[in-house]
Amino acid sequence: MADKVYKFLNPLGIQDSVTLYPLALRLDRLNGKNIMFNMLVQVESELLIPLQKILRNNYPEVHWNMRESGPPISEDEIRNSDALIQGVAF
Amino acid sequence: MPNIAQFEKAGKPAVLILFEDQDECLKQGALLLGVPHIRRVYCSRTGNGAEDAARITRPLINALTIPLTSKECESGKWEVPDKRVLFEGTLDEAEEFYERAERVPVLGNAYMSLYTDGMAIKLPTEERVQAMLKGTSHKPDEVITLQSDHTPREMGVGGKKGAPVRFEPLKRRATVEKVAVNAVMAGCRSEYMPILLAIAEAGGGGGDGRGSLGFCVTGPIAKEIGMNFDVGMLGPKNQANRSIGRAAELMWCNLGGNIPKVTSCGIMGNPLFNCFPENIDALPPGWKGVNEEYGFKRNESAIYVIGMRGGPPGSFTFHSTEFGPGGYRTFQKSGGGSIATRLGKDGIQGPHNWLEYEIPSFWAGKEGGFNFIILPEMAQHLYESGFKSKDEVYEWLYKASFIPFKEYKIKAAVGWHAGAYHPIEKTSGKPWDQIPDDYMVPLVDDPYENCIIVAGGGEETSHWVNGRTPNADPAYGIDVWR
Repeated sequence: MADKVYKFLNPLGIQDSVTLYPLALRLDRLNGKNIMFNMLVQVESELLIPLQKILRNNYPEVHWNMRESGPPISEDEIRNSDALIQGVAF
Repeated sequence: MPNIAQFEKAGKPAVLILFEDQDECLKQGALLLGVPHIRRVYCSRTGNGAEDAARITRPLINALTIPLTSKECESGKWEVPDKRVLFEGTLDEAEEFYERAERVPVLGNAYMSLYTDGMAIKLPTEERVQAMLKGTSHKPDEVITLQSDHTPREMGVGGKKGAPVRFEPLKRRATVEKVAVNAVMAGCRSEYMPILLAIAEAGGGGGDGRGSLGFCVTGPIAKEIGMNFDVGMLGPKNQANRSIGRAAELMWCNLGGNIPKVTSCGIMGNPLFNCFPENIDALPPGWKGVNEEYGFKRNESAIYVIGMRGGPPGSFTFHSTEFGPGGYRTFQKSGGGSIATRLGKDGIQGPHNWLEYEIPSFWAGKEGGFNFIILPEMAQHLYESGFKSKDEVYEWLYKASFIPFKEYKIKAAVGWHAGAYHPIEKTSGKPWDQIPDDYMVPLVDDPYENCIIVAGGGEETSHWVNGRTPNADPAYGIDVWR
Protein backbone atom coordinates (compact mmCIF):
# COMPACT_ATOMS: atom_id res chain seq x y z
CA MET A 1 0.00 0.00 0.00
CA ALA A 2 2.74 2.41 0.97
CA ASP A 3 4.42 1.84 -2.41
CA LYS A 4 1.30 2.37 -4.47
CA VAL A 5 1.72 5.27 -6.90
CA TYR A 6 -0.99 7.92 -7.04
CA LYS A 7 -1.64 11.04 -9.07
CA PHE A 8 -1.91 14.16 -6.93
CA LEU A 9 -3.72 17.20 -8.29
CA ASN A 10 -2.62 20.79 -8.50
CA PRO A 11 -4.13 23.27 -5.98
CA LEU A 12 -2.66 26.37 -7.66
CA GLY A 13 -4.79 28.85 -9.57
CA ILE A 14 -4.54 29.40 -13.31
CA GLN A 15 -2.21 32.26 -14.19
CA ASP A 16 -3.13 33.95 -17.46
CA SER A 17 -0.17 34.89 -19.62
CA VAL A 18 0.94 38.52 -19.54
CA THR A 19 2.45 40.48 -22.42
CA LEU A 20 5.54 42.29 -21.17
CA TYR A 21 6.39 45.76 -22.42
CA PRO A 22 9.67 47.66 -22.43
CA LEU A 23 9.74 50.82 -20.37
CA ALA A 24 9.03 54.04 -22.20
CA LEU A 25 12.01 56.03 -23.40
CA ARG A 26 13.06 58.52 -20.73
CA LEU A 27 12.77 62.28 -21.13
CA ASP A 28 15.62 63.89 -23.08
CA ARG A 29 15.16 67.18 -21.20
CA LEU A 30 12.92 68.65 -18.50
CA ASN A 31 12.41 72.11 -19.95
CA GLY A 32 8.77 72.63 -20.93
CA LYS A 33 7.69 69.09 -20.04
CA ASN A 34 4.34 68.39 -18.40
CA ILE A 35 4.90 66.07 -15.46
CA MET A 36 2.01 64.78 -13.43
CA PHE A 37 2.58 64.26 -9.71
CA ASN A 38 -0.22 61.98 -8.56
CA MET A 39 -0.94 61.29 -4.91
CA LEU A 40 -2.67 57.96 -4.59
CA VAL A 41 -4.44 58.92 -1.40
CA GLN A 42 -5.44 62.23 0.09
CA VAL A 43 -4.06 62.38 3.58
CA GLU A 44 -1.88 64.82 5.44
CA SER A 45 1.31 63.40 3.93
CA GLU A 46 4.52 64.37 5.70
CA LEU A 47 6.36 63.43 2.54
CA LEU A 48 4.34 64.20 -0.56
CA ILE A 49 3.26 67.75 0.34
CA PRO A 50 6.84 69.02 0.91
CA LEU A 51 7.98 67.02 -2.09
CA GLN A 52 5.57 68.92 -4.32
CA LYS A 53 7.04 72.19 -3.07
CA ILE A 54 10.66 71.08 -3.63
CA LEU A 55 9.89 69.85 -7.14
CA ARG A 56 8.27 73.16 -8.03
CA ASN A 57 11.17 75.16 -6.57
CA ASN A 58 14.01 73.05 -7.94
CA TYR A 59 12.53 72.45 -11.38
CA PRO A 60 10.66 75.62 -12.36
CA GLU A 61 11.19 74.81 -16.04
CA VAL A 62 8.74 71.88 -15.68
CA HIS A 63 4.98 72.35 -15.93
CA TRP A 64 3.90 70.46 -12.83
CA ASN A 65 0.41 69.03 -12.59
CA MET A 66 0.04 68.33 -8.88
CA ARG A 67 -2.90 65.97 -8.81
CA GLU A 68 -4.66 64.85 -5.68
CA SER A 69 -6.50 61.59 -5.33
CA GLY A 70 -9.89 61.62 -6.93
CA PRO A 71 -11.35 60.20 -10.12
CA PRO A 72 -9.13 57.82 -12.11
CA ILE A 73 -6.60 59.47 -14.42
CA SER A 74 -8.31 59.99 -17.78
CA GLU A 75 -6.98 59.24 -21.26
CA ASP A 76 -6.87 63.00 -21.87
CA GLU A 77 -4.74 63.56 -18.78
CA ILE A 78 -2.30 60.89 -19.96
CA ARG A 79 -2.23 62.37 -23.46
CA ASN A 80 -1.47 65.80 -22.06
CA SER A 81 1.32 64.57 -19.79
CA ASP A 82 4.90 63.73 -20.64
CA ALA A 83 5.68 61.74 -17.48
CA LEU A 84 4.28 60.59 -14.16
CA ILE A 85 5.53 60.55 -10.57
CA GLN A 86 3.18 58.45 -8.51
CA GLY A 87 3.16 58.53 -4.73
CA VAL A 88 2.11 55.12 -3.46
CA ALA A 89 3.61 55.60 -0.01
CA PHE A 90 2.31 58.47 2.10
CA MET B 1 -0.59 50.90 -10.05
CA PRO B 2 -2.62 50.70 -13.28
CA ASN B 3 -1.75 54.37 -13.88
CA ILE B 4 1.91 53.49 -14.11
CA ALA B 5 1.29 50.83 -16.74
CA GLN B 6 -0.98 53.15 -18.73
CA PHE B 7 1.73 55.79 -18.84
CA GLU B 8 4.55 53.41 -19.73
CA LYS B 9 2.52 51.67 -22.44
CA ALA B 10 1.65 55.10 -23.86
CA GLY B 11 5.38 55.81 -24.19
CA LYS B 12 5.52 58.17 -21.21
CA PRO B 13 8.02 57.49 -18.43
CA ALA B 14 6.77 56.92 -14.91
CA VAL B 15 8.22 56.36 -11.45
CA LEU B 16 6.73 55.16 -8.19
CA ILE B 17 7.45 56.37 -4.65
CA LEU B 18 7.07 53.55 -2.18
CA PHE B 19 8.44 51.99 0.99
CA GLU B 20 11.28 49.55 0.40
CA ASP B 21 9.52 46.80 2.35
CA GLN B 22 6.68 46.91 -0.20
CA ASP B 23 9.03 46.46 -3.14
CA GLU B 24 8.44 42.75 -3.77
CA CYS B 25 4.67 43.27 -3.83
CA LEU B 26 5.04 46.23 -6.17
CA LYS B 27 7.22 44.19 -8.51
CA GLN B 28 4.59 41.45 -8.61
CA GLY B 29 1.88 44.01 -9.34
CA ALA B 30 3.99 45.56 -12.09
CA LEU B 31 4.63 42.15 -13.64
CA LEU B 32 0.89 41.46 -13.77
CA LEU B 33 0.41 44.80 -15.53
CA GLY B 34 3.08 43.94 -18.11
CA VAL B 35 5.72 46.46 -16.94
CA PRO B 36 7.97 44.36 -14.68
CA HIS B 37 10.90 46.79 -14.65
CA ILE B 38 9.02 49.84 -13.50
CA ARG B 39 11.36 52.32 -11.83
CA ARG B 40 10.92 52.87 -8.13
CA VAL B 41 12.26 55.28 -5.51
CA TYR B 42 12.07 54.39 -1.84
CA CYS B 43 11.02 56.74 0.92
CA SER B 44 11.32 56.24 4.66
CA ARG B 45 8.65 55.00 7.04
CA THR B 46 10.22 56.78 9.99
CA GLY B 47 12.37 59.68 8.79
CA ASN B 48 11.42 63.35 8.77
CA GLY B 49 9.08 63.94 5.82
CA ALA B 50 10.65 67.17 4.53
CA GLU B 51 14.18 65.77 4.78
CA ASP B 52 13.07 62.59 3.05
CA ALA B 53 11.41 64.62 0.29
CA ALA B 54 14.66 66.52 -0.27
CA ARG B 55 16.59 63.23 -0.37
CA ILE B 56 14.41 61.56 -3.01
CA THR B 57 13.91 64.55 -5.31
CA ARG B 58 16.99 63.94 -7.45
CA PRO B 59 16.45 60.15 -7.69
CA LEU B 60 12.91 60.80 -8.91
CA ILE B 61 14.12 63.10 -11.66
CA ASN B 62 16.85 60.60 -12.53
CA ALA B 63 14.24 57.86 -12.86
CA LEU B 64 12.48 59.94 -15.50
CA THR B 65 15.59 61.01 -17.40
CA ILE B 66 18.42 58.45 -17.20
CA PRO B 67 18.34 56.29 -20.35
CA LEU B 68 16.99 52.74 -20.16
CA THR B 69 19.18 49.73 -19.52
CA SER B 70 19.06 46.81 -21.90
CA LYS B 71 16.97 44.85 -19.37
CA GLU B 72 14.43 47.66 -19.19
CA CYS B 73 14.08 47.49 -22.99
CA GLU B 74 13.10 43.81 -22.95
CA SER B 75 9.66 42.64 -24.02
CA GLY B 76 8.07 39.21 -24.19
CA LYS B 77 5.49 37.08 -22.47
CA TRP B 78 5.19 35.81 -18.91
CA GLU B 79 3.63 32.37 -18.87
CA VAL B 80 3.05 29.94 -16.02
CA PRO B 81 2.07 26.44 -17.18
CA ASP B 82 -0.94 24.91 -15.46
CA LYS B 83 -0.55 21.19 -14.88
CA ARG B 84 -3.61 19.27 -13.66
CA VAL B 85 -1.46 16.56 -12.05
CA LEU B 86 1.18 18.22 -9.92
CA PHE B 87 2.93 15.11 -8.60
CA GLU B 88 2.98 11.37 -9.14
CA GLY B 89 4.39 9.03 -6.53
CA THR B 90 3.73 7.24 -3.27
CA LEU B 91 1.89 8.81 -0.35
CA ASP B 92 5.15 9.29 1.54
CA GLU B 93 6.78 10.96 -1.45
CA ALA B 94 3.77 13.18 -2.01
CA GLU B 95 3.68 14.22 1.64
CA GLU B 96 7.26 15.39 1.36
CA PHE B 97 6.51 17.18 -1.92
CA TYR B 98 3.40 19.07 -0.78
CA GLU B 99 4.82 20.07 2.56
CA ARG B 100 7.95 21.69 1.14
CA ALA B 101 8.76 25.21 2.21
CA GLU B 102 11.18 27.88 1.05
CA ARG B 103 13.01 30.56 2.95
CA VAL B 104 11.78 34.05 2.06
CA PRO B 105 14.52 36.68 2.37
CA VAL B 106 12.18 39.66 2.89
CA LEU B 107 10.58 37.84 5.83
CA GLY B 108 13.88 37.47 7.65
CA ASN B 109 14.46 34.13 5.91
CA ALA B 110 11.37 32.64 7.51
CA TYR B 111 10.04 29.46 5.90
CA MET B 112 6.91 29.77 3.79
CA SER B 113 5.11 26.67 2.58
CA LEU B 114 4.76 26.21 -1.15
CA TYR B 115 1.36 24.47 -1.19
CA THR B 116 -0.03 24.51 2.33
CA ASP B 117 -0.92 26.95 5.09
CA GLY B 118 2.03 25.64 7.08
CA MET B 119 0.17 22.67 8.57
CA ALA B 120 0.06 19.06 7.44
CA ILE B 121 -2.59 18.40 4.80
CA LYS B 122 -4.70 15.57 3.50
CA LEU B 123 -3.06 14.68 0.18
CA PRO B 124 -5.16 15.53 -2.90
CA THR B 125 -5.15 12.23 -4.78
CA GLU B 126 -7.24 12.18 -7.93
CA GLU B 127 -9.64 9.74 -6.23
CA ARG B 128 -10.16 11.96 -3.17
CA VAL B 129 -10.77 14.98 -5.37
CA GLN B 130 -13.32 13.05 -7.41
CA ALA B 131 -15.11 12.09 -4.19
CA MET B 132 -15.08 15.73 -3.08
CA LEU B 133 -16.66 16.76 -6.38
CA LYS B 134 -19.71 14.64 -5.58
CA GLY B 135 -20.74 17.51 -3.29
CA THR B 136 -21.73 19.70 -6.23
CA SER B 137 -23.54 19.28 -9.54
CA HIS B 138 -21.10 21.67 -11.21
CA LYS B 139 -18.61 20.23 -13.69
CA PRO B 140 -14.97 19.90 -12.57
CA ASP B 141 -13.65 22.03 -15.42
CA GLU B 142 -16.14 24.85 -14.89
CA VAL B 143 -14.32 28.10 -14.28
CA ILE B 144 -15.46 29.88 -11.11
CA THR B 145 -17.54 32.86 -12.17
CA LEU B 146 -19.85 35.28 -10.42
CA GLN B 147 -23.31 33.74 -10.21
CA SER B 148 -24.94 37.17 -9.85
CA ASP B 149 -23.92 40.83 -10.11
CA HIS B 150 -21.79 41.98 -7.20
CA THR B 151 -21.05 45.60 -6.37
CA PRO B 152 -17.36 45.68 -5.43
CA ARG B 153 -16.86 45.39 -1.69
CA GLU B 154 -13.09 45.80 -1.90
CA MET B 155 -10.53 46.68 -4.55
CA GLY B 156 -10.62 44.13 -7.33
CA VAL B 157 -13.50 42.10 -5.87
CA GLY B 158 -16.87 42.18 -7.61
CA GLY B 159 -18.33 42.53 -11.09
CA LYS B 160 -21.09 41.36 -13.39
CA LYS B 161 -22.71 37.94 -13.41
CA GLY B 162 -20.65 35.51 -15.49
CA ALA B 163 -17.35 37.32 -15.00
CA PRO B 164 -14.52 34.99 -14.04
CA VAL B 165 -13.44 35.39 -10.44
CA ARG B 166 -9.90 36.67 -10.11
CA PHE B 167 -8.18 35.26 -7.07
CA GLU B 168 -5.97 37.89 -5.50
CA PRO B 169 -3.20 38.81 -5.15
CA LEU B 170 -2.02 37.29 -8.45
CA LYS B 171 -5.40 37.61 -10.22
CA ARG B 172 -5.50 33.92 -11.07
CA ARG B 173 -8.57 31.96 -12.16
CA ALA B 174 -9.76 28.62 -10.82
CA THR B 175 -12.00 25.74 -11.72
CA VAL B 176 -14.46 23.81 -9.58
CA GLU B 177 -11.89 21.00 -9.48
CA LYS B 178 -9.18 23.28 -8.12
CA VAL B 179 -11.50 24.37 -5.32
CA ALA B 180 -12.09 20.67 -4.59
CA VAL B 181 -8.32 20.04 -4.48
CA ASN B 182 -7.93 22.73 -1.84
CA ALA B 183 -10.99 21.36 -0.01
CA VAL B 184 -9.38 17.91 0.21
CA MET B 185 -6.15 19.44 1.48
CA ALA B 186 -8.03 21.41 4.16
CA GLY B 187 -9.80 18.29 5.46
CA CYS B 188 -13.30 19.18 4.23
CA ARG B 189 -16.17 16.80 3.51
CA SER B 190 -17.90 16.71 0.13
CA GLU B 191 -21.13 18.18 1.55
CA TYR B 192 -19.24 21.41 2.27
CA MET B 193 -18.59 21.96 -1.44
CA PRO B 194 -21.48 24.39 -2.10
CA ILE B 195 -20.20 26.59 0.75
CA LEU B 196 -16.63 26.36 -0.50
CA LEU B 197 -17.67 27.26 -4.03
CA ALA B 198 -19.57 30.28 -2.71
CA ILE B 199 -16.45 31.31 -0.80
CA ALA B 200 -14.49 30.83 -4.04
CA GLU B 201 -17.03 33.02 -5.85
CA ALA B 202 -16.31 35.64 -3.19
CA GLY B 203 -12.63 35.49 -4.18
CA GLY B 204 -11.57 32.86 -1.68
CA GLY B 205 -9.93 33.96 1.53
CA GLY B 206 -7.80 36.60 -0.14
CA GLY B 207 -10.20 39.47 -0.62
CA ASP B 208 -8.27 42.24 -2.36
CA GLY B 209 -5.09 40.20 -1.88
CA ARG B 210 -4.39 41.10 1.72
CA GLY B 211 -6.70 38.50 3.22
CA SER B 212 -8.00 38.95 6.74
CA LEU B 213 -11.58 38.10 5.99
CA GLY B 214 -14.14 36.31 8.08
CA PHE B 215 -16.84 34.05 6.64
CA CYS B 216 -20.27 33.54 8.14
CA VAL B 217 -22.70 30.92 6.82
CA THR B 218 -26.25 32.21 6.93
CA GLY B 219 -29.16 29.88 6.17
CA PRO B 220 -30.18 26.28 6.72
CA ILE B 221 -27.12 24.58 5.23
CA ALA B 222 -25.20 25.39 8.43
CA LYS B 223 -27.34 22.97 10.41
CA GLU B 224 -27.55 20.46 7.56
CA ILE B 225 -23.79 19.93 7.70
CA GLY B 226 -23.58 20.13 11.48
CA MET B 227 -21.74 23.40 11.98
CA ASN B 228 -21.25 24.61 15.52
CA PHE B 229 -23.05 27.92 16.15
CA ASP B 230 -22.83 27.66 19.95
CA VAL B 231 -20.10 27.69 22.58
CA GLY B 232 -16.68 27.42 20.95
CA MET B 233 -17.83 28.15 17.41
CA LEU B 234 -14.60 30.06 16.78
CA GLY B 235 -12.50 27.35 18.42
CA PRO B 236 -11.48 23.78 17.59
CA LYS B 237 -13.39 20.47 17.35
CA ASN B 238 -16.01 21.12 14.66
CA GLN B 239 -14.84 19.86 11.29
CA ALA B 240 -17.01 22.17 9.21
CA ASN B 241 -16.24 25.39 11.09
CA ARG B 242 -12.52 24.75 11.09
CA SER B 243 -11.92 23.07 7.73
CA ILE B 244 -14.06 25.51 5.72
CA GLY B 245 -12.13 28.39 7.27
CA ARG B 246 -8.90 26.58 6.48
CA ALA B 247 -9.98 25.93 2.89
CA ALA B 248 -10.65 29.67 2.45
CA GLU B 249 -7.08 30.41 3.53
CA LEU B 250 -5.69 27.69 1.26
CA MET B 251 -7.59 29.27 -1.64
CA TRP B 252 -5.88 32.56 -0.80
CA CYS B 253 -2.47 30.82 -0.74
CA ASN B 254 -2.90 28.47 -3.68
CA LEU B 255 -5.56 29.87 -5.98
CA GLY B 256 -4.49 33.46 -5.31
CA GLY B 257 -0.75 32.97 -4.82
CA ASN B 258 -0.43 34.73 -1.48
CA ILE B 259 3.08 34.97 -0.05
CA PRO B 260 3.22 37.60 2.70
CA LYS B 261 5.36 40.62 1.80
CA VAL B 262 6.21 39.04 -1.57
CA THR B 263 2.88 39.04 -3.37
CA SER B 264 0.63 40.67 -0.78
CA CYS B 265 1.06 43.67 1.50
CA GLY B 266 -0.92 42.92 4.62
CA ILE B 267 -0.19 43.59 8.26
CA MET B 268 -0.61 40.98 10.99
CA GLY B 269 -2.81 38.44 9.28
CA ASN B 270 -5.96 36.87 10.56
CA PRO B 271 -6.41 35.11 13.90
CA LEU B 272 -9.90 33.95 12.89
CA PHE B 273 -9.37 30.41 11.62
CA ASN B 274 -12.97 29.30 11.52
CA CYS B 275 -15.90 29.87 9.27
CA PHE B 276 -18.91 30.22 11.59
CA PRO B 277 -22.66 30.07 11.16
CA GLU B 278 -25.42 32.47 12.06
CA ASN B 279 -27.96 30.90 14.43
CA ILE B 280 -31.00 31.75 12.33
CA ASP B 281 -33.38 29.82 14.61
CA ALA B 282 -32.35 32.00 17.56
CA LEU B 283 -33.25 35.33 15.95
CA PRO B 284 -35.86 37.32 17.90
CA PRO B 285 -39.27 37.59 16.22
CA GLY B 286 -39.21 39.93 13.24
CA TRP B 287 -35.42 40.10 13.02
CA LYS B 288 -34.05 39.20 9.61
CA GLY B 289 -31.25 36.75 9.06
CA VAL B 290 -28.18 38.10 7.31
CA ASN B 291 -29.30 36.09 4.26
CA GLU B 292 -32.60 38.01 4.24
CA GLU B 293 -30.78 41.32 4.63
CA TYR B 294 -29.21 40.58 1.26
CA GLY B 295 -32.37 39.51 -0.55
CA PHE B 296 -32.22 35.77 0.06
CA LYS B 297 -35.16 33.92 1.62
CA ARG B 298 -34.94 32.57 5.18
CA ASN B 299 -34.64 29.05 3.77
CA GLU B 300 -31.88 29.97 1.32
CA SER B 301 -28.23 29.79 2.29
CA ALA B 302 -25.48 32.30 1.65
CA ILE B 303 -21.97 33.08 2.69
CA TYR B 304 -21.49 36.53 4.24
CA VAL B 305 -17.99 37.97 3.92
CA ILE B 306 -16.82 40.05 6.84
CA GLY B 307 -14.35 42.47 5.37
CA MET B 308 -12.17 45.18 6.73
CA ARG B 309 -14.12 48.38 6.26
CA GLY B 310 -12.80 51.08 8.56
CA GLY B 311 -9.88 49.01 9.69
CA PRO B 312 -6.36 48.40 8.54
CA PRO B 313 -6.25 46.07 5.55
CA GLY B 314 -4.54 42.81 6.27
CA SER B 315 -5.39 42.75 9.95
CA PHE B 316 -8.53 41.32 11.50
CA THR B 317 -9.31 42.17 15.10
CA PHE B 318 -12.07 41.13 17.46
CA HIS B 319 -13.21 43.50 20.17
CA SER B 320 -15.37 42.28 22.99
CA THR B 321 -17.63 43.60 25.70
CA GLU B 322 -16.01 45.42 28.57
CA PHE B 323 -18.36 43.91 31.16
CA GLY B 324 -18.18 40.53 32.86
CA PRO B 325 -21.05 38.09 32.24
CA GLY B 326 -22.08 38.16 35.91
CA GLY B 327 -22.29 41.94 35.86
CA TYR B 328 -24.41 41.74 32.75
CA ARG B 329 -26.86 39.28 34.33
CA THR B 330 -27.15 41.36 37.49
CA PHE B 331 -27.92 44.42 35.36
CA GLN B 332 -30.65 42.65 33.41
CA LYS B 333 -32.15 40.64 36.29
CA SER B 334 -32.39 43.29 38.98
CA GLY B 335 -30.86 46.59 37.81
CA GLY B 336 -27.92 45.97 40.09
CA GLY B 337 -24.21 46.67 39.61
CA SER B 338 -22.13 49.25 37.81
CA ILE B 339 -23.77 48.85 34.42
CA ALA B 340 -27.11 49.87 35.88
CA THR B 341 -25.51 52.76 37.75
CA ARG B 342 -23.82 54.14 34.63
CA LEU B 343 -27.06 53.92 32.68
CA GLY B 344 -29.28 55.28 35.47
CA LYS B 345 -31.19 52.00 35.82
CA ASP B 346 -30.39 51.28 39.46
CA GLY B 347 -32.92 48.84 40.87
CA ILE B 348 -34.89 48.62 37.62
CA GLN B 349 -35.27 45.08 36.34
CA GLY B 350 -34.50 44.51 32.63
CA PRO B 351 -34.65 43.84 29.82
CA HIS B 352 -32.48 46.85 29.07
CA ASN B 353 -30.62 48.01 25.98
CA TRP B 354 -27.14 46.86 26.95
CA LEU B 355 -25.56 48.38 23.84
CA GLU B 356 -25.89 51.75 25.56
CA TYR B 357 -23.20 50.70 28.02
CA GLU B 358 -20.80 49.89 25.17
CA ILE B 359 -21.12 53.16 23.29
CA PRO B 360 -17.98 54.80 24.76
CA SER B 361 -15.81 51.85 23.73
CA PHE B 362 -17.21 51.36 20.22
CA TRP B 363 -15.62 54.44 18.69
CA ALA B 364 -12.83 55.08 21.18
CA GLY B 365 -10.21 55.24 18.45
CA LYS B 366 -11.92 55.01 15.10
CA GLU B 367 -14.98 55.67 13.04
CA GLY B 368 -17.33 53.39 11.15
CA GLY B 369 -19.87 50.68 11.79
CA PHE B 370 -19.34 47.17 13.06
CA ASN B 371 -20.27 43.56 12.50
CA PHE B 372 -21.60 42.44 15.86
CA ILE B 373 -21.70 38.82 16.93
CA ILE B 374 -24.41 38.71 19.58
CA LEU B 375 -25.52 35.83 21.76
CA PRO B 376 -29.15 34.75 21.33
CA GLU B 377 -30.34 35.89 24.79
CA MET B 378 -28.60 39.23 24.41
CA ALA B 379 -30.36 39.73 21.06
CA GLN B 380 -33.58 38.78 22.82
CA HIS B 381 -32.91 41.45 25.48
CA LEU B 382 -32.54 44.04 22.73
CA TYR B 383 -35.81 42.86 21.20
CA GLU B 384 -37.62 42.99 24.55
CA SER B 385 -36.20 46.42 25.31
CA GLY B 386 -37.90 47.78 22.20
CA PHE B 387 -35.97 46.88 19.05
CA LYS B 388 -38.47 45.01 16.93
CA SER B 389 -36.10 44.68 13.98
CA LYS B 390 -32.39 44.78 13.27
CA ASP B 391 -33.02 47.95 11.27
CA GLU B 392 -34.09 49.69 14.46
CA VAL B 393 -30.85 48.68 16.16
CA TYR B 394 -28.81 49.91 13.20
CA GLU B 395 -30.64 53.24 13.27
CA TRP B 396 -30.16 53.55 17.05
CA LEU B 397 -26.42 52.88 16.71
CA TYR B 398 -26.17 55.47 13.96
CA LYS B 399 -27.89 58.10 16.09
CA ALA B 400 -25.79 57.19 19.11
CA SER B 401 -22.62 57.79 17.11
CA PHE B 402 -23.04 61.57 16.75
CA ILE B 403 -20.34 63.71 18.39
CA PRO B 404 -19.32 67.40 18.06
CA PHE B 405 -17.14 68.13 15.04
CA LYS B 406 -14.34 69.41 17.29
CA GLU B 407 -14.06 65.87 18.70
CA TYR B 408 -14.63 64.18 15.37
CA LYS B 409 -11.75 65.93 13.66
CA ILE B 410 -9.20 64.61 16.13
CA LYS B 411 -10.16 60.99 15.51
CA ALA B 412 -7.31 58.87 14.11
CA ALA B 413 -8.71 58.12 10.68
CA VAL B 414 -10.47 61.38 10.04
CA GLY B 415 -8.49 61.95 6.83
CA TRP B 416 -10.29 59.05 5.20
CA HIS B 417 -13.73 60.28 6.10
CA ALA B 418 -13.39 64.04 6.08
CA GLY B 419 -10.76 64.27 3.34
CA ALA B 420 -10.89 64.05 -0.42
CA TYR B 421 -12.85 60.79 -0.40
CA HIS B 422 -15.79 62.56 1.24
CA PRO B 423 -15.42 66.29 0.57
CA ILE B 424 -18.94 67.03 1.82
CA GLU B 425 -20.27 66.44 5.32
CA LYS B 426 -23.28 64.26 4.65
CA THR B 427 -25.82 65.45 7.20
CA SER B 428 -25.42 69.16 6.37
CA GLY B 429 -24.45 68.95 2.71
CA LYS B 430 -21.64 71.44 3.40
CA PRO B 431 -17.88 71.15 2.80
CA TRP B 432 -16.03 70.04 5.91
CA ASP B 433 -14.20 73.36 6.28
CA GLN B 434 -17.54 75.11 6.77
CA ILE B 435 -18.65 72.88 9.65
CA PRO B 436 -18.66 74.65 13.05
CA ASP B 437 -16.97 72.95 15.97
CA ASP B 438 -20.19 72.33 17.88
CA TYR B 439 -22.02 70.74 14.92
CA MET B 440 -22.91 67.13 15.63
CA VAL B 441 -21.59 64.65 13.04
CA PRO B 442 -21.98 60.85 12.93
CA LEU B 443 -19.09 58.47 13.45
CA VAL B 444 -20.98 55.97 11.31
CA ASP B 445 -21.62 57.13 7.75
CA ASP B 446 -24.70 55.01 7.31
CA PRO B 447 -26.81 52.87 9.69
CA TYR B 448 -26.14 49.87 7.46
CA GLU B 449 -22.42 49.95 8.11
CA ASN B 450 -23.58 47.91 11.10
CA CYS B 451 -24.59 44.27 10.89
CA ILE B 452 -25.81 41.92 13.60
CA ILE B 453 -25.05 38.21 13.48
CA VAL B 454 -26.79 36.21 16.19
CA ALA B 455 -24.51 33.33 17.14
CA GLY B 456 -22.41 31.89 19.90
CA GLY B 457 -23.40 30.69 23.34
CA GLY B 458 -22.41 30.51 26.96
CA GLU B 459 -21.50 33.48 29.09
CA GLU B 460 -22.96 36.86 28.18
CA THR B 461 -20.43 38.76 26.12
CA SER B 462 -20.61 40.09 22.61
CA HIS B 463 -17.94 40.60 19.99
CA TRP B 464 -17.51 43.01 17.17
CA VAL B 465 -15.23 43.54 14.20
CA ASN B 466 -15.08 46.16 11.48
CA GLY B 467 -18.35 46.85 9.72
CA ARG B 468 -19.64 46.54 6.20
CA THR B 469 -19.91 48.86 3.23
CA PRO B 470 -23.51 49.89 2.58
CA ASN B 471 -24.61 49.19 -1.01
CA ALA B 472 -21.76 46.73 -1.53
CA ASP B 473 -22.66 43.10 -1.82
CA PRO B 474 -20.71 40.77 0.46
CA ALA B 475 -23.29 37.92 0.41
CA TYR B 476 -22.90 35.03 -2.06
CA GLY B 477 -25.55 32.40 -2.65
CA ILE B 478 -24.66 28.86 -1.66
CA ASP B 479 -27.62 26.97 -3.13
CA VAL B 480 -26.63 27.85 -6.68
CA TRP B 481 -23.46 25.83 -6.10
CA ARG B 482 -25.22 22.67 -4.87
